[in-house]
Amino acid sequence: MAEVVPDKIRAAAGKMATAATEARTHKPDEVGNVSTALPGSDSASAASTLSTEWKTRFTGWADDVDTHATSMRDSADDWDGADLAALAREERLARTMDGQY
Amino acid sequence: MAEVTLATLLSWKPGELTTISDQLHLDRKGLVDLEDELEAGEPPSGWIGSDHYFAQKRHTTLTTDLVDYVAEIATVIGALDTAAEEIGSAKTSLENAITGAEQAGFSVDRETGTITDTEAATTDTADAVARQKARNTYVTLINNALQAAADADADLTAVLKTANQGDIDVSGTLQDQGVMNDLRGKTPEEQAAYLLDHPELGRSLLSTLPVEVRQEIGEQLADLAEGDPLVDTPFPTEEERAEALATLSEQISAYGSDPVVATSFMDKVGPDGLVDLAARIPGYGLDTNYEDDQHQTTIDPELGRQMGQLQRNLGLLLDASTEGLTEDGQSGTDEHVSAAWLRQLLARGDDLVDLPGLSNHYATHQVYGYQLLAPMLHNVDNSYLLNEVGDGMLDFETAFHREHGQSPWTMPVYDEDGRLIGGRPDGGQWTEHLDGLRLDWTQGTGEDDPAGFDPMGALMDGLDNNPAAAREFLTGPDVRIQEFEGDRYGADGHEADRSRIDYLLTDRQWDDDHVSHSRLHHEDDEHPGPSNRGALGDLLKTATMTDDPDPATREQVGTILDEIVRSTTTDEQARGHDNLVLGDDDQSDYKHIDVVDPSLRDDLGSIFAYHSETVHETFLGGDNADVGPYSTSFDEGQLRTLLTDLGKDPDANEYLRVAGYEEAIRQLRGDLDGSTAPHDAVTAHMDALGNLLGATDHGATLADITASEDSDAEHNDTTTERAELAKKIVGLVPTGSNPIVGLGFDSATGGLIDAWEREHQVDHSGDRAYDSQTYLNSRRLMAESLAEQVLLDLGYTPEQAQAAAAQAGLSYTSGVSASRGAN
Repeated sequence: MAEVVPDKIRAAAGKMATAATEARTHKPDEVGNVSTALPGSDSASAASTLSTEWKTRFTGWADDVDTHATSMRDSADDWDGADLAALAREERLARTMDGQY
Repeated sequence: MAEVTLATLLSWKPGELTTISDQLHLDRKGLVDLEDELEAGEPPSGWIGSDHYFAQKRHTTLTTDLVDYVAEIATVIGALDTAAEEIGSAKTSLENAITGAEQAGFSVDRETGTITDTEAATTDTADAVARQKARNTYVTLINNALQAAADADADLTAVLKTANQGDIDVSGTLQDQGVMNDLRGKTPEEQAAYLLDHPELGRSLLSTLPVEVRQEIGEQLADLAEGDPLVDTPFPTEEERAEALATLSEQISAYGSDPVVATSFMDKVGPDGLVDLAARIPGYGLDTNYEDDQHQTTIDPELGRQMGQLQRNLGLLLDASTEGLTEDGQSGTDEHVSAAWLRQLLARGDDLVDLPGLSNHYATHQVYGYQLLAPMLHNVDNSYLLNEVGDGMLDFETAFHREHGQSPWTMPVYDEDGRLIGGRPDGGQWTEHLDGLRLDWTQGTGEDDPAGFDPMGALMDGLDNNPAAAREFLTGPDVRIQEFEGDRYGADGHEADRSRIDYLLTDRQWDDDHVSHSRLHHEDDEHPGPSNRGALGDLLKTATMTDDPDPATREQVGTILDEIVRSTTTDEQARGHDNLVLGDDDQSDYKHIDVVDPSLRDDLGSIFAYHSETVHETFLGGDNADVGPYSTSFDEGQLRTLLTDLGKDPDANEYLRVAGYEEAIRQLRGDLDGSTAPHDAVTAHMDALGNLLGATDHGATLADITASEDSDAEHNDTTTERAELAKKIVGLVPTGSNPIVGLGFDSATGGLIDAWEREHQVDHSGDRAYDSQTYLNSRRLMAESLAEQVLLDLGYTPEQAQAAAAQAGLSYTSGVSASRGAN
C-alpha cells in the first residue's frame, strides 16, 4: 500500500532528527585542543575561540534541524481532514508574498 | 605575531596537531555522510500548503549552511596539517641545533636560548674567532627555527580566525566537500591534478584549498596552457581544436578567478609567455572569407567562440593576478604579481610579435604586443593595470604617428622601398593566406564586430568597467602630437601637447577595424568596417555621468566636461581644416562640418543632458563662469556651438531638449518659491532655456532633420488644453534642490513634451522646419505656459502668473536670438 502524505512527512522529519543527532556527535570542537598542542601560541588562543564558536554553531544547527523536524511532524498531524484546495491556495499565496511569482 | 622562545617551541607538540586534524577529518566525514539523511529528509512530494513551502525553504537553508560549515572545517584541517609539518620541522631543526651546539662544547640555556662556550678561553686569536663563528652559527640556526615556528603559528592563527568569522560561502553539495576527505594526505601536486581533472568542483572547493594547492593549480594550469594537447595531431580539425580549447577554458574558468591561482599562473608563464600564449590564438582559425564581396563566416562557430573564450579567460587570470597591485615598485605576493612583472609585460606592448600559427619559413607575420594584450582587457577592472596599459598604448601610438605619419594599428606601414615594417600584416600583396585574420575573438564574428587591430577599443571597454579608472585615464598626462601649418604633406610639422580628451575626440585616427581580405582594400568605402569610436562614447558617459559627491571625483568630471566643450569646438576640423592641419582662417560652416563625429553625438547628448544643471547655469552665469556642481567654466559661445552640433542628432536633440525643460522648471521653481519678485527669475531661466533650445533647434535645422516646409496648419488646441499640459509637466519635475538631473524620469516628462509639441504641430523629428516662424512661436508659447504654470503651482495669483508668462516669452526669444547670433 502506498504511503500516505502525513506518513511521508513524518518519515522525512525522522531523517532530519537523525541528522541533528549525528551533527551533535560530529561537532568539531576538538580544534580547541590546539591550546594543549601549542601552549602559549597565538593559534592556541584562536583555536579556543573557534572551538567555542563551532560548538555553538553546530549545536545551533542541530537545534534548528530539530525544530524543523518538529514543525514537520506538527504539519503532518494537521494534515488529516485538511482542505487540500485551500492548502494549495495557501502555498501559492506564500510563494507570491515571498517574491517567487 | 607573538615571539616564539626556545622554551616555547620545545614545549610544543606538533604531532598532536595531526591528531586534532584526524579528529576533525572524522567529524567532517560524519557530517558529509549526513547527505543521505538530508536528502531523505526533504519535504515529500504530495505535501502542499504554506507549511510545505516554508519547510522546503528551511530545508534548503539548513543544507546550504551545513555545506558552508563543512567547507570551513576543510580550511582548518589543511592549515593544521601544514602547521604540523612546518612546526615539526622547526622543532627538529631546533633540537638538532641544540645537540650540535652541545657536542661542539657550548651550553644552551633551555629557557632563554643563551649559548655559552663551556671550553676554557683560548689565548689564540684565530681559535677565539673560530669559536665565536661557531657560536654564531648555532645562534642563527636556533633563531631560524624559532622564526619558522612563529611564521607557521601566524599562518595557522589567520586561518582559525577566518573560520571563526564564518564568512565562507561555497556552492555545491556535501558530496563535493567529501572530495576533500579523499584528497587529504595527497601531495599538492596530486591534489591539483585531481582538481584540474574535475573543474566542476572548482566553485565548491576553491575557497577551502590551502595556498600551496592553489599555487600548484596555477602552475599546472600554466603547463596546460603552454602545452598543446594536439601536438601529436598533424592536422587537427576545427572541432578537435575547439574541444581542446573548451577543456582549457573550463579549467581556467573554474579556478582562474582566485588571486593565488592566477598569480601562480602568471609567475609560471612570465610576461613573455603570456604574450606568446596570446599570439597563438589568432592562428587557430581565420574568421572569414569574402565570397562575391560578401562577409561569409567560414570558421566553425564553436572554434571561434572558444578562441574568444580563451582570450577572455586569459583576461580573467590577468585581472585576478593584479587585483592587489596598485602602485609602481610593489613587490609580488602570493596574491598578485609584482609591479616589475607588469612592467615587463607592458614592455612587450610595442614589440612586433610573431603569429606562430600563421608564420612559416618563408614569411613571418607579426602584430604589436598591445594588439595581443587588448582582447584580455575587456573584462579587467583594475585601475592600475588599465591605466598602465593605457598610458603605454597612448605613448606608443602617438610616438609612432609622429614618426611615420600614420597609426600603427590598422594599416600596413611600409618603408621607402615598399617593405612592410609594421602595422597590419594582412590585406597586402601575397597575403591571401591571411584573409580573415581577426585578433580579437571576444566580441563576435559579425561584420560589425571590430577585428581587434585597433587595441584602443578593448582598452576603452576595460576602462568602462571602472568609472574611477576611466576618469584617471581621461584626465591623465597630455599626449604629444604632430601638427602641420597649411599643408600636411608639404610643410614641416611641429609637436604640440594635447589633453587626452582633445586627442581622443578630435585628433586620433579611429580607423575602421575590420577583418580584411586581399581583394578588398582597407579604404574601400563600400566596406568601411566597424569602428571602435563607440567605445570612446561609452567611456565618456561612464566617466562623467555620476553624482559622486567626492570633491576629487567632481573635479575630474568638471575637467572632462570642460575639455569636451573646448577641444571639440576649437579643433582645426571645427574651423574647416583637415585633421592636424592648422590654419588661422576660420572656414567654419556648421551645416557641413562635424564638430563632433556623428557617431558620438548621441553619447555626448546624453552627457550634457545629464549635466543640464551645468549647461543651464552656464547660460545664467555667462562666459567662463565657474558654475554648477562640477565647477565647470565653459566658454558660452563654445557651448552653443557644441549644442548646435549635438542638436543635429535626433536622439541627442531629444535628450537635451527634455533635460533643458526640466532644469529650467526646477530652477525656476527653486528661485520663485517664497519670492515676491518673480520677474528676474523668469527672465534669467527662460533666457537660459532659449539659449539651449535655440542651439539644438539650429542644429536640427542644419542637419535637415526636418525636410518639408511648415504647413502653417491651424492649431486646434486651446489655451486651456495647453495650460493643462504645462501643469502636468511642471508637476512631474521634483520639487527642491536636485543638483543632478538624471535621465530617470525623462520618459514621463519627455512623453508629455512630445505630446505637447505634437499638439502644437512642431514635431521635432517629423515634418516641421525648426526655424519656421510657426515653430518658433510655438516654442515661445511653451516657455510662457510653463512659466505661468510654475507660478500658479507655487500659489502666485493668476495676474502675476500671466505677467510672468509674458516676460518668459520675451526672455525665451532673447535667449534664442543670442544662440542664433553665436552660430
